Amino acid sequence: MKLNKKAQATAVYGLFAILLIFALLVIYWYFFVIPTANITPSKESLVAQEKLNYDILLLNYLKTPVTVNENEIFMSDLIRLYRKDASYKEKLKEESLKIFDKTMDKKYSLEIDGDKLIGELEKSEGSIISQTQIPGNENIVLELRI
Amino acid sequence: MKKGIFLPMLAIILLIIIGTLGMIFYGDILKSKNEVVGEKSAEVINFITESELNYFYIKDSARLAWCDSLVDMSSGKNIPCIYNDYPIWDIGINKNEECDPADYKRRFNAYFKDNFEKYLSRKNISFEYDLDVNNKKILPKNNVEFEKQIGKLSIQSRQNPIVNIELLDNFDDFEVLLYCIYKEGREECLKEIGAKAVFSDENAKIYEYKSIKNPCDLKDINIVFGIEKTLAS
Repeated sequence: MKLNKKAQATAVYGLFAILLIFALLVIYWYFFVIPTANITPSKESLVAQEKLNYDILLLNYLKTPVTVNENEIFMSDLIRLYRKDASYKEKLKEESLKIFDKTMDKKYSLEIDGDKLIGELEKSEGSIISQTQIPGNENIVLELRI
Repeated sequence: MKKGIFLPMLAIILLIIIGTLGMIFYGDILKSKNEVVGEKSAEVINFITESELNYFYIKDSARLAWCDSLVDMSSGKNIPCIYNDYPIWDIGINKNEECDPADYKRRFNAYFKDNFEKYLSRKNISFEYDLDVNNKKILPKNNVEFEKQIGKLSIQSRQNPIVNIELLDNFDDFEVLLYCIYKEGREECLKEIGAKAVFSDENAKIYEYKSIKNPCDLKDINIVFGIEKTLAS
Protein backbone atom coordinates (compact mmCIF):
# COMPACT_ATOMS: atom_id res chain seq x y z
CA MET A 1 0.00 0.00 0.00
CA LYS A 2 1.39 3.33 -0.95
CA LEU A 3 0.63 6.32 1.24
CA ASN A 4 0.43 9.83 0.03
CA LYS A 5 2.81 12.45 1.41
CA LYS A 6 0.32 13.79 3.94
CA ALA A 7 -0.37 10.34 5.32
CA GLN A 8 3.36 9.60 5.49
CA ALA A 9 3.98 12.76 7.55
CA THR A 10 1.15 11.86 9.94
CA ALA A 11 2.58 8.35 10.35
CA VAL A 12 6.07 9.72 11.11
CA TYR A 13 4.74 12.22 13.63
CA GLY A 14 2.56 9.52 15.21
CA LEU A 15 5.55 7.21 15.53
CA PHE A 16 7.54 10.07 17.07
CA ALA A 17 4.76 10.66 19.61
CA ILE A 18 4.66 6.97 20.54
CA LEU A 19 8.45 6.96 21.01
CA LEU A 20 8.18 10.02 23.24
CA ILE A 21 5.54 8.35 25.40
CA PHE A 22 7.72 5.28 25.66
CA ALA A 23 10.73 7.45 26.60
CA LEU A 24 8.69 9.14 29.30
CA LEU A 25 7.62 5.80 30.74
CA VAL A 26 11.26 4.72 30.91
CA ILE A 27 12.25 7.98 32.63
CA TYR A 28 9.31 7.67 35.00
CA TRP A 29 10.27 4.08 35.84
CA TYR A 30 13.91 4.99 36.34
CA PHE A 31 13.36 7.99 38.60
CA PHE A 32 10.20 7.11 40.51
CA VAL A 33 9.73 3.36 40.66
CA ILE A 34 13.26 2.00 41.08
CA PRO A 35 14.19 4.30 44.03
CA THR A 36 11.23 3.02 46.09
CA ALA A 37 12.71 -0.47 45.98
CA ASN A 38 15.75 0.78 47.95
CA ILE A 39 13.79 2.46 50.71
CA THR A 40 13.70 0.58 53.99
CA PRO A 41 11.51 2.79 56.10
CA SER A 42 10.83 0.03 58.58
CA LYS A 43 14.49 -0.17 59.65
CA GLU A 44 14.44 2.93 61.85
CA SER A 45 11.09 1.92 63.29
CA LEU A 46 12.53 -1.43 64.29
CA VAL A 47 15.49 0.21 66.02
CA ALA A 48 13.10 2.60 67.77
CA GLN A 49 10.88 -0.32 68.78
CA GLU A 50 13.89 -2.12 70.24
CA LYS A 51 14.98 1.04 72.08
CA LEU A 52 11.44 1.38 73.42
CA ASN A 53 11.69 -2.11 74.91
CA TYR A 54 14.97 -1.28 76.63
CA ASP A 55 13.65 2.09 77.90
CA ILE A 56 10.70 0.26 79.46
CA LEU A 57 13.06 -2.33 80.92
CA LEU A 58 15.15 0.47 82.47
CA LEU A 59 12.02 2.11 83.86
CA ASN A 60 10.79 -1.14 85.41
CA TYR A 61 14.27 -1.78 86.79
CA LEU A 62 14.16 1.54 88.67
CA LYS A 63 10.69 0.75 90.06
CA THR A 64 11.57 -2.74 91.26
CA PRO A 65 11.23 -3.17 95.03
CA VAL A 66 14.27 -4.58 96.80
CA THR A 67 14.97 -5.51 100.40
CA VAL A 68 18.04 -3.85 101.90
CA ASN A 69 18.89 -4.32 105.59
CA GLU A 70 15.32 -5.58 106.15
CA ASN A 71 13.85 -2.43 104.63
CA GLU A 72 11.88 -2.51 101.42
CA ILE A 73 13.06 0.23 99.08
CA PHE A 74 13.20 0.66 95.30
CA MET A 75 16.12 0.13 92.97
CA SER A 76 16.27 3.90 92.42
CA ASP A 77 16.79 4.30 96.19
CA LEU A 78 19.49 1.63 96.17
CA ILE A 79 21.29 3.46 93.35
CA ARG A 80 21.21 6.66 95.41
CA LEU A 81 22.51 4.74 98.43
CA TYR A 82 25.35 3.40 96.30
CA ARG A 83 26.25 6.90 95.10
CA LYS A 84 26.49 8.05 98.73
CA ASP A 85 28.11 4.93 100.11
CA ALA A 86 30.19 2.58 97.92
CA SER A 87 29.62 -0.31 100.35
CA TYR A 88 26.22 -0.81 98.67
CA LYS A 89 27.90 -1.64 95.34
CA GLU A 90 27.81 -5.43 95.78
CA LYS A 91 24.16 -5.38 96.78
CA LEU A 92 23.32 -3.17 93.83
CA LYS A 93 25.25 -5.44 91.43
CA GLU A 94 23.56 -8.53 92.81
CA GLU A 95 20.04 -7.10 92.53
CA SER A 96 20.71 -5.58 89.09
CA LEU A 97 22.02 -8.88 87.74
CA LYS A 98 18.90 -10.65 89.03
CA ILE A 99 16.75 -8.32 86.95
CA PHE A 100 18.81 -8.01 83.77
CA ASP A 101 19.97 -11.60 83.48
CA LYS A 102 16.35 -12.71 83.41
CA THR A 103 15.36 -10.34 80.65
CA MET A 104 18.40 -9.72 78.43
CA ASP A 105 19.25 -12.09 75.61
CA LYS A 106 22.01 -9.89 74.15
CA LYS A 107 25.29 -8.54 75.46
CA TYR A 108 24.73 -5.41 77.51
CA SER A 109 26.22 -3.16 80.12
CA LEU A 110 24.75 -0.85 82.76
CA GLU A 111 26.66 2.31 83.63
CA ILE A 112 25.96 4.65 86.51
CA ASP A 113 27.42 8.14 86.15
CA GLY A 114 29.85 6.74 83.59
CA ASP A 115 31.07 3.83 85.74
CA LYS A 116 30.27 0.35 84.49
CA LEU A 117 28.31 -1.57 87.11
CA ILE A 118 27.42 -4.81 85.32
CA GLY A 119 27.51 -6.39 81.86
CA GLU A 120 29.93 -7.57 79.22
CA LEU A 121 30.01 -4.62 76.85
CA GLU A 122 32.84 -2.16 77.22
CA LYS A 123 32.27 1.57 77.41
CA SER A 124 31.57 3.09 74.00
CA GLU A 125 30.38 -0.27 72.67
CA GLY A 126 26.74 -0.98 71.92
CA SER A 127 24.42 0.14 69.17
CA ILE A 128 21.42 1.03 71.32
CA ILE A 129 21.69 3.26 74.33
CA SER A 130 18.85 3.72 76.73
CA GLN A 131 19.54 6.58 79.11
CA THR A 132 17.75 8.23 81.99
CA GLN A 133 18.35 10.35 85.08
CA ILE A 134 17.16 9.94 88.63
CA PRO A 135 17.19 12.66 91.28
CA GLY A 136 19.83 12.70 93.99
CA ASN A 137 22.22 15.22 95.54
CA GLU A 138 23.21 15.64 91.91
CA ASN A 139 21.14 13.95 89.22
CA ILE A 140 22.40 10.41 88.63
CA VAL A 141 22.75 9.28 85.01
CA LEU A 142 22.02 5.66 84.08
CA GLU A 143 22.96 4.19 80.71
CA LEU A 144 21.93 0.80 79.46
CA ARG A 145 24.01 -0.21 76.42
CA ILE A 146 23.00 -3.08 74.19
CA MET B 1 1.50 25.44 11.00
CA LYS B 2 1.33 22.02 9.43
CA LYS B 3 -1.61 19.95 10.55
CA GLY B 4 0.56 16.86 11.13
CA ILE B 5 2.57 18.48 13.88
CA PHE B 6 -0.49 18.80 16.12
CA LEU B 7 -0.35 15.22 17.52
CA PRO B 8 3.34 15.20 18.51
CA MET B 9 2.99 18.67 20.08
CA LEU B 10 -0.01 17.51 22.07
CA ALA B 11 1.96 14.44 23.16
CA ILE B 12 4.94 16.55 24.23
CA ILE B 13 2.78 19.00 26.19
CA LEU B 14 0.93 16.13 27.87
CA LEU B 15 4.20 14.41 28.68
CA ILE B 16 5.58 17.57 30.27
CA ILE B 17 2.42 18.08 32.33
CA ILE B 18 2.16 14.44 33.41
CA GLY B 19 5.90 14.27 34.10
CA THR B 20 5.87 17.40 36.26
CA LEU B 21 2.79 16.32 38.20
CA GLY B 22 4.21 12.85 38.61
CA MET B 23 7.47 14.22 39.91
CA ILE B 24 5.76 16.45 42.48
CA PHE B 25 3.30 13.77 43.56
CA TYR B 26 5.74 10.90 43.74
CA GLY B 27 8.44 13.02 45.32
CA ASP B 28 6.05 13.85 48.16
CA ILE B 29 5.05 10.21 48.59
CA LEU B 30 8.68 9.12 48.77
CA LYS B 31 9.53 11.84 51.23
CA SER B 32 6.55 11.19 53.48
CA LYS B 33 7.04 7.42 53.35
CA ASN B 34 10.61 7.83 54.42
CA GLU B 35 9.96 10.39 57.14
CA VAL B 36 6.67 9.19 58.59
CA VAL B 37 7.27 5.48 58.61
CA GLY B 38 10.95 5.72 59.42
CA GLU B 39 12.34 8.78 61.08
CA LYS B 40 9.17 10.33 62.44
CA SER B 41 7.71 7.20 63.95
CA ALA B 42 11.08 6.51 65.56
CA GLU B 43 11.08 10.00 67.04
CA VAL B 44 7.49 9.62 68.25
CA ILE B 45 8.32 6.31 69.95
CA ASN B 46 11.41 7.85 71.55
CA PHE B 47 9.37 10.82 72.75
CA ILE B 48 6.79 8.53 74.39
CA THR B 49 9.43 6.66 76.38
CA GLU B 50 11.25 9.88 77.25
CA SER B 51 7.98 11.18 78.65
CA GLU B 52 7.43 8.00 80.68
CA LEU B 53 10.92 8.35 82.14
CA ASN B 54 10.16 11.99 82.95
CA TYR B 55 6.92 11.00 84.75
CA PHE B 56 8.95 8.52 86.75
CA TYR B 57 11.43 11.30 87.53
CA ILE B 58 8.55 13.37 88.95
CA LYS B 59 7.34 10.50 91.14
CA ASP B 60 10.84 9.63 92.30
CA SER B 61 11.56 13.30 93.06
CA ALA B 62 8.38 13.46 95.13
CA ARG B 63 9.49 10.48 97.25
CA LEU B 64 12.93 11.94 97.70
CA ALA B 65 11.56 15.39 98.53
CA TRP B 66 9.30 13.77 101.14
CA CYS B 67 12.30 12.08 102.77
CA ASP B 68 14.32 15.31 102.68
CA SER B 69 11.42 17.14 104.29
CA LEU B 70 11.29 14.63 107.15
CA VAL B 71 14.95 15.37 107.83
CA ASP B 72 14.30 19.13 107.61
CA MET B 73 11.40 18.75 110.06
CA SER B 74 13.53 16.88 112.58
CA SER B 75 16.33 19.45 112.41
CA GLY B 76 14.00 22.45 112.42
CA LYS B 77 15.50 23.84 109.23
CA ASN B 78 14.82 27.55 108.62
CA ILE B 79 12.80 28.02 111.79
CA PRO B 80 13.83 30.76 114.22
CA CYS B 81 13.43 28.66 117.38
CA ILE B 82 16.62 26.67 117.72
CA TYR B 83 18.30 26.24 121.07
CA ASN B 84 21.60 24.35 121.33
CA ASP B 85 20.89 22.87 117.87
CA TYR B 86 17.52 21.57 119.01
CA PRO B 87 14.24 22.83 117.58
CA ILE B 88 12.24 24.42 120.37
CA TRP B 89 8.52 24.04 120.16
CA ASP B 90 6.97 27.23 121.31
CA ILE B 91 3.69 26.57 123.02
CA GLY B 92 3.62 29.70 125.19
CA ILE B 93 0.83 32.24 125.26
CA ASN B 94 2.61 34.74 122.98
CA LYS B 95 3.91 31.96 120.86
CA ASN B 96 5.84 32.36 117.67
CA GLU B 97 3.66 30.81 114.95
CA GLU B 98 6.73 29.58 113.12
CA CYS B 99 7.58 27.38 116.07
CA ASP B 100 4.13 26.15 116.95
CA PRO B 101 4.19 22.33 116.86
CA ALA B 102 0.53 22.31 115.83
CA ASP B 103 1.63 24.06 112.66
CA TYR B 104 3.78 21.13 111.58
CA LYS B 105 1.73 20.34 108.48
CA ARG B 106 2.15 23.83 107.07
CA ARG B 107 5.88 23.66 107.78
CA PHE B 108 6.15 20.25 106.19
CA ASN B 109 4.38 21.61 103.11
CA ALA B 110 6.87 24.44 102.88
CA TYR B 111 9.84 22.07 103.18
CA PHE B 112 8.34 19.73 100.64
CA LYS B 113 7.70 22.54 98.15
CA ASP B 114 11.33 23.69 98.36
CA ASN B 115 12.77 20.21 98.04
CA PHE B 116 10.45 19.06 95.26
CA GLU B 117 11.03 22.17 93.19
CA LYS B 118 14.78 21.80 93.60
CA TYR B 119 14.62 18.41 91.84
CA LEU B 120 12.04 19.38 89.21
CA SER B 121 13.94 22.52 88.21
CA ARG B 122 16.92 20.40 87.18
CA LYS B 123 14.84 19.06 84.30
CA ASN B 124 12.78 22.20 83.76
CA ILE B 125 9.60 20.38 84.71
CA SER B 126 6.65 22.51 85.68
CA PHE B 127 4.19 20.74 87.98
CA GLU B 128 1.39 22.25 90.02
CA TYR B 129 0.07 20.09 92.80
CA ASP B 130 -1.63 19.90 96.17
CA LEU B 131 0.08 17.98 98.92
CA ASP B 132 -2.29 15.82 100.94
CA VAL B 133 -0.14 15.22 104.00
CA ASN B 134 -2.69 13.05 105.82
CA ASN B 135 -3.16 10.60 102.96
CA LYS B 136 0.43 10.91 101.76
CA LYS B 137 -0.59 11.82 98.24
CA ILE B 138 0.50 14.43 95.78
CA LEU B 139 -2.47 15.49 93.72
CA PRO B 140 -1.77 17.26 90.43
CA LYS B 141 -3.75 20.44 89.79
CA ASN B 142 -3.34 20.10 86.03
CA ASN B 143 -2.03 17.53 83.62
CA VAL B 144 1.72 17.47 83.26
CA GLU B 145 2.57 18.00 79.62
CA PHE B 146 5.64 17.35 77.59
CA GLU B 147 5.85 18.62 74.04
CA LYS B 148 8.16 17.99 71.14
CA GLN B 149 8.36 19.44 67.67
CA ILE B 150 9.18 16.88 65.00
CA GLY B 151 9.43 18.75 61.71
CA LYS B 152 6.02 20.28 61.15
CA LEU B 153 4.46 17.85 63.59
CA SER B 154 3.95 18.88 67.20
CA ILE B 155 3.34 16.01 69.59
CA GLN B 156 2.27 16.14 73.20
CA SER B 157 2.31 13.72 76.05
CA ARG B 158 -0.13 14.37 78.89
CA GLN B 159 -0.46 12.62 82.22
CA ASN B 160 -2.00 13.18 85.61
CA PRO B 161 0.66 11.69 87.85
CA ILE B 162 -0.91 11.13 91.26
CA VAL B 163 1.93 10.20 93.56
CA ASN B 164 1.31 7.88 96.47
CA ILE B 165 4.00 8.12 99.08
CA GLU B 166 3.65 4.92 101.02
CA LEU B 167 6.37 5.60 103.47
CA LEU B 168 6.11 6.41 107.12
CA ASP B 169 3.44 6.79 109.75
CA ASN B 170 5.36 9.61 111.34
CA PHE B 171 2.45 12.02 111.14
CA ASP B 172 0.43 9.72 113.32
CA ASP B 173 3.38 9.89 115.69
CA PHE B 174 3.22 13.66 115.59
CA GLU B 175 -0.48 13.62 116.40
CA VAL B 176 0.19 11.49 119.50
CA LEU B 177 2.99 13.79 120.51
CA LEU B 178 0.84 16.88 120.12
CA TYR B 179 -1.89 15.31 122.22
CA CYS B 180 0.57 14.96 125.08
CA ILE B 181 2.13 18.39 124.67
CA TYR B 182 -1.16 20.20 125.00
CA LYS B 183 -2.47 17.92 127.70
CA GLU B 184 -2.43 18.71 131.37
CA GLY B 185 0.12 16.49 133.06
CA ARG B 186 2.31 16.73 129.98
CA GLU B 187 5.35 15.16 131.62
CA GLU B 188 3.47 11.98 132.58
CA CYS B 189 1.91 11.69 129.15
CA LEU B 190 5.26 12.14 127.37
CA LYS B 191 6.74 9.46 129.59
CA GLU B 192 3.88 7.14 128.72
CA ILE B 193 4.37 7.46 124.99
CA GLY B 194 8.10 6.92 125.37
CA ALA B 195 9.51 10.44 125.00
CA LYS B 196 12.72 10.73 126.99
CA ALA B 197 14.30 13.90 128.34
CA VAL B 198 17.84 13.97 126.90
CA PHE B 199 19.00 17.45 127.86
CA SER B 200 17.97 20.07 130.31
CA ASP B 201 19.24 23.45 131.46
CA GLU B 202 17.75 26.57 132.95
CA ASN B 203 16.10 27.58 129.67
CA ALA B 204 14.74 24.47 128.06
CA LYS B 205 14.12 20.80 128.37
CA ILE B 206 14.84 18.63 125.34
CA TYR B 207 13.02 15.39 124.63
CA GLU B 208 13.77 12.61 122.23
CA TYR B 209 10.55 10.99 121.17
CA LYS B 210 11.41 8.21 118.80
CA SER B 211 13.60 7.30 115.94
CA ILE B 212 12.13 6.64 112.52
CA LYS B 213 13.81 5.16 109.50
CA ASN B 214 14.29 7.38 106.48
CA PRO B 215 13.21 5.05 103.68
CA CYS B 216 15.32 6.87 101.10
CA ASP B 217 18.71 6.58 102.75
CA LEU B 218 17.89 4.08 105.55
CA LYS B 219 19.29 6.43 108.17
CA ASP B 220 17.54 7.10 111.46
CA ILE B 221 15.68 10.34 111.89
CA ASN B 222 15.27 11.30 115.51
CA ILE B 223 12.20 13.25 116.48
CA VAL B 224 13.75 15.61 118.97
CA PHE B 225 12.09 18.68 120.32
CA GLY B 226 12.54 21.13 123.14
CA ILE B 227 10.12 22.96 125.37
CA GLU B 228 10.90 26.09 127.33
CA LYS B 229 11.69 25.23 130.90
CA THR B 230 8.84 27.29 132.34
CA LEU B 231 6.38 25.25 130.31
CA ALA B 232 8.08 21.89 130.47
CA SER B 233 6.48 20.47 133.54
